[in-house]
Formats: sequence, C-alpha cells, structure tokens
Amino acid sequence: MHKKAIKYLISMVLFVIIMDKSIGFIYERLYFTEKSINHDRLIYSAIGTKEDVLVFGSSRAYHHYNPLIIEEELGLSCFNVGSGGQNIYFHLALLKEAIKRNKPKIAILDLIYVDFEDAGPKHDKEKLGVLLPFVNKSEIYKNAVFLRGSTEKIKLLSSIYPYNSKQLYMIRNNLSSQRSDTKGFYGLPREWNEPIKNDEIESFEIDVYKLKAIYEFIEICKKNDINIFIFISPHYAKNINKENYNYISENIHKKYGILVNNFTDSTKYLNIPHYFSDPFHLNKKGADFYSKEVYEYISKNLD
Amino acid sequence: MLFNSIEFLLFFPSVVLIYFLLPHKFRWIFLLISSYYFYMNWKPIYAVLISFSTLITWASGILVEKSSSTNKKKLFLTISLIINFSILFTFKYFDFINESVFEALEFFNIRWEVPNLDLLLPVGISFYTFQAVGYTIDVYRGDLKAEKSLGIYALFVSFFPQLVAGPIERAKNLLPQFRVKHKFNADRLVLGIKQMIWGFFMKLVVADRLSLIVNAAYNNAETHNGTTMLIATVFFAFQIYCDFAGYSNIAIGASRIMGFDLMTNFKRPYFAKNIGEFWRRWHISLSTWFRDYLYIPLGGNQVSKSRNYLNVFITFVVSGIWHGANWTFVIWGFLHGTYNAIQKLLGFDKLKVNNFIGDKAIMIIFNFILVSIAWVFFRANSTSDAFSIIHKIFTNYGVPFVDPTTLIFGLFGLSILLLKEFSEEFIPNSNFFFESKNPIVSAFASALLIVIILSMGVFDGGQFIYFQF
Repeated sequence: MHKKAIKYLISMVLFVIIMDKSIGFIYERLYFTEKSINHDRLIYSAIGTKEDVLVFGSSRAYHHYNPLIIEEELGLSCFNVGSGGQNIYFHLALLKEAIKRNKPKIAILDLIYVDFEDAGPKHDKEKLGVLLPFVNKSEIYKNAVFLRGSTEKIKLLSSIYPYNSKQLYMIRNNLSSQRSDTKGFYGLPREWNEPIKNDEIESFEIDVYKLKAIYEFIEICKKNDINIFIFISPHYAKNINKENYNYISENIHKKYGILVNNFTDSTKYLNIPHYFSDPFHLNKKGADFYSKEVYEYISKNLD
Repeated sequence: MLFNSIEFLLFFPSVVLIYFLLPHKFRWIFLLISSYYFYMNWKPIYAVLISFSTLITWASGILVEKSSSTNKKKLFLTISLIINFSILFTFKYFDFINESVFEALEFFNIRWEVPNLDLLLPVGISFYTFQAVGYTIDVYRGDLKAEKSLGIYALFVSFFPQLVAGPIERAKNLLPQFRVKHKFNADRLVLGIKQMIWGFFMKLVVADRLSLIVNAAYNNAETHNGTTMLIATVFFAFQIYCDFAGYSNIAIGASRIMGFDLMTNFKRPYFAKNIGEFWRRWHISLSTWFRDYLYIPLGGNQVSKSRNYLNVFITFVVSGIWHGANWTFVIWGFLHGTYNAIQKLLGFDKLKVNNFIGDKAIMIIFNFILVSIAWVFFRANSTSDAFSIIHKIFTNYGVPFVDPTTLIFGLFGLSILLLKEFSEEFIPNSNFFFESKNPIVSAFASALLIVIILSMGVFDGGQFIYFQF
C-alpha cells in the first residue's frame, strides 16, 4: 500500500475521532449551561422539573392547561410539559425521568388521537429526535431515542450527532431566554373567526404499541402513588374522532377504573369561537376557563 | 437503499471487503447479487422490470451482431427500442399523455375517457433504460461487440453505484471493466473516499438544507412574496445541483474504490458562460447520450443552419420530457432549447472572452439567471404556478419569509461549496486544503468536512431528487 494513502487514512480517522469527541464535548457543555436550562422550555421539561403537578400532552396540553390557575386553586406547584407534535412515547419518557428527580403528586395527561393512532412505523417515533441531546443524561431518554430505529445506536457513536443543527439554538439559549411561556403554558392570543368546520378525521387503526405506552404511563403513576387524571380537551367542532376516543376511554376505564374526561362533546365549548384560536386549540381565554374546570374536577376526585 | 443512509454505510464497506477477498472469477457474480439486493431494497418487484429490460437488450445485441443483413439488424434494434421505450412510456408517460389528450379533446367538447394506470414509477427506470438502449445502438452501429455473457451484461445494466441516478454509462467504457481483475489500490481508496465525502457534503449539508427553504416556498407559492420566491429559486438552483452532483460524486467515488472508472457527470456548471457550455458541464452523461443517440442522428450541425437549430431544439425538448411526465419539464426543455438556439444565432457560443474577470463574471451571472428562470418550471408544482412565481419575482417585493436558522446553515454550506468550486475553476492545480498533496492536511480537511456533516447535515432529508426520473 502507498505510504501517503496510509498516512491519509490513519490521520483522517484520528482527526475525526478527536474532533468529534472534543466538539461534541463543547456542544454538550454549551447545551446544558445553567442559563440554557432556565432559558429553554424543552431542556427544563426534560431535566429540570420538580413540581408537584405535571401536565403531559401535545400542543393541546401546552396551550390548554394554565399552571397558574391550577397552582392557585390546588395550592401545589405545577408545570406544563406538553409539547407540540409529540405523542405518548415522548410523554412516557418525560414522566419516567421526572419520577427519578422528584415524584410528582399529580399527573395530568391530555390525550389526542395521535397518542393512539397507527400512523406508520416511522412517523411518530421520528419526533423523539428532540430527546437526542439528553441521551447522555439519561438511559430513559436514550431508550426513547432508540425507538426511532436500530441505526440510532450507530449514529450515536458520534458525540456531535445529538447536537446536529442545534448550534444557533445553543448560542441563543446562552444569550437570552427564548421562552414565551408561563410555567410551561402558552395561551394563544388569536380568536377563531372562521365558519364552523366539521374537521372530521376518518377513523383509523389503533396502534397497539402506543396503547401499551398509554397503559404503561397509567401503571407507572399507580405504582408510584401519583394521582393520574386523563382528559381529552375541547375541540371546536363536534364528533371529532368520537369512535376512537370512546374506544380508548372505555378500555382505560375497564382496565384501570380511571374515567377519561372527554370534553369534545361539551356544549360549553362547542362552536364557541371566542374560546378558540383554531379548531383544535383553545385560546388564552378558553384555556383559562377550561383550566378552572380541570381544577374543579381534580379537587373533587383527588385521593 | 439510499446512499444517505446508515444501511448504505454498512452495505458498501462490506461489499468492498468481500469483493476484494473473492477470487476474480466470482467477483462479477457477487457484484450482480449486491446490485440486485441494493435495488430490491426499494421494491423487490422492480427487479422483474430491470431483468426483463436486461434480457431484451442483451438478446437484441447478440441478434443484431449475428444478423448478416442490415434490414435484420434494423429489425432487431427496432424491436428492442420499442419494447424498452414502451415499458418506460407505460410507467412514466401513459397517465400524462392520457390526461393531456383528455383535456385537449374536452376543449373541443369531445369526451373520451380512458382510465389512468396509476402505476408507481420504478426507481431509476429512465437511467437504466437509456444505458441499456445505448448499448444496443452501439452494437447496431458496430461500435461495440455484443456481450456474450448475460451475467456480465446484467451487471452492466444494474451496477449499483450508478443504477438509480447515473451517470448513464456507455457500454464501451464500463463493460470491459467488469472483466479486468482489479487489485486493491490504496490511492484509489483515498481518492474514492474523498469524492464520497464531498458528495455527502453536497447532499446533506447543502442540498437537503436548502430544500427546507425551497419546499416551504414552492409548496405554498401563493402565500409568499416575490423576494421569498427569488431566494427559493436561487437556492433551488444549488439544491438540485448539489443533490444530483452529490449523488454522482458518491457513485463515482464508490466505483473508484472498487476499481471502476465512471464518467464525469458534472463540471462546475454554474461557472458556464453560455447555455451550450452549461450543458457541457451539467449532467454530462445524459447530454452526451442525447448528442450521440439523438442530435447527431438528426443531422447534428452537418445540416443547414435552420435545421441545426431545429435539431438543437428537439434534443432539448426531448431531454425535458426525459425528466418527467409534466408540462413543466417540457417547458424547461423548451426554454433551454430556445436559449441555446438564440445564443447560437447571436454567436454567443463563439464569443471570445477577455481574461478580464469582469467580462467572465457578467456572462456567468447572466447565464445563471437564464438557467434559474428555467429551474422555476422544473421545480414548480404546475405551469400556472411557475408563471405566477416568475411574475411575482419581478413585481412583488417585500420582506422575505425565510427561517433564519435554515438560512444561516444553508449559506454556510453554500459558501464552502462556492469556495471549493471557485478555486477549482479559476486556480486549477492549486491543491488547496481538501485537494492538498500533503496527506495530513488533506486528511484534516476530510475530517473537517465529516464534522461539518455531523454538525449541520440534514439526516432525515430523504431521497435524491433524480430518483423520481
């Protein structure tokens, strides 16, 4: 073999390893500074929460449950870890990790159809990529990321990969807070002023793995004496995914004796535009009104 | 199997290792199996089509060679062309022509409805069909001896590095290489690795990043202003270049490691000073294919001036149609044909450029603008969209709506690309950094590119644009 070629190959491999490890180390330091933990909602949700009440769910949880109202009424600290576009796999990982830090007293889980819809093998798990920076912090997050596919293990041989495309985000977090939330909640300002749309979503297959994850979420709460409350928060239009929601509610009730509070048929919200920002999300006014209902229900049913 | 997947990064080194460990007589069999495995990863059923195409062109090659009379040779060639182009037509163009005919007749109040076939286009069908058809024509012309071994010929049609998106190889170049005993060569390994790294950089750091801005703008063109569409159009020019040239670099680099030399497919096309030169630098394997098998048989430039312009025009329109079954591609080809004909008419192609960099720069920029306008049709979802986008670009200015993070990453990748291409174009043999003759410097540059890919590459960008053709 040619000497130059061998020199090239060996030094390239060495350079890659050295640069990957050292730059990865710098990225990790930059990502998890004290400032960034407070400045970034995701980082705080993943590794910072120690509140008594945690709200889990998708964007509908993020925009529908105001922790200030829940705190005021229950006298317990509360944080909303709801995350747009995420589903039960993400909520479950966050719950498991939160328990390790400080066992919450109450867990509120807001369900939406994406939490049990069979959306294809890749669709839902891809989104767990947001947990990549946390893989070295927690085995729970590492296992959640592995759900994305077997190749993640190979990709994670690189120390840079978990911070892929996050350089500007890290710089921003270390300079100033990007947060617009209050204890994890962000009330949407807009008022829906479009005509009523019956955004019926066709019925779909239930994903048995997601269903198992929902059950696991409940069982972990039960095992750790965490009061769990499951809600399906209001929609603007009627009968959205009624069959599927009924199916999931009945199953949970039958298996665990837990009542799933389905607000999709509640006339307090149906077709009332000034409570909504869009057909799927309450606005701040609607969220505050709904949060009071949630509090009332919890206070009545708290063990 | 995608090049930009972990599966390929495991598959390729395994193939190389086994390939060099095997005795020479078994290597082609192994490569053939590997190529079919690679291809069948998309959809196993596609293998039936490529096998059929292989069988037809192989048999016709033998029959053409064996035939003593020209008429018989012509007959076998014609049968082969009809069968191959019929398959391509059925899968790629039937629905488009059916719909176009339906719309045209409806215009005259005639309702003649034939249901669409709705067939899924097999990956790379246009590439391997052209490669196989090119072989048959070469045999017919007597430029090449027919390949007797069906296995070797099947490998020529399905050779995995260039199977799904080219370069569209010539049998004269590639076929004999399968019979050569390639010894492992460390220098070739280094050159191949470097070319592959650069290809991955082009695809993952530049093309897939820019695609985020391009797709957001072009898929919602009605909601964006002209400034956003202008940025998206310029970015698309680089996206498609980096996507396609990135693929070619990976294909050529991978082949090089195994001892095979594929043809160059791109030569910094955006430094071209006129359209003719652009096509000598862009998708060279396709443009030379059309030159050899369409333009020259039509008479090339050995005819009257007007006929020559028509030949150029036909070649470009057919090239547009080759890309896809949509009027947007036809107009794209039509535009390039028109540009070329006008520039020939005005003598642009023979214009001597002073060494003064300003002259060159103006011509390069002007040519880039022309090419970019044509790209609008190539990328737009419909012809009406394309016209509306061009109208917006020239009339509707405003604050662009572009995600700043994506923009910064995109511009970063683009500046590295331009820096490298600029130095190759204007300071040849500079052996700067990535091309340095010092193995340590060169290794550092390669490692740096890998680190940039890991830091800023888009890993879920999906497949290459040209797979759809």
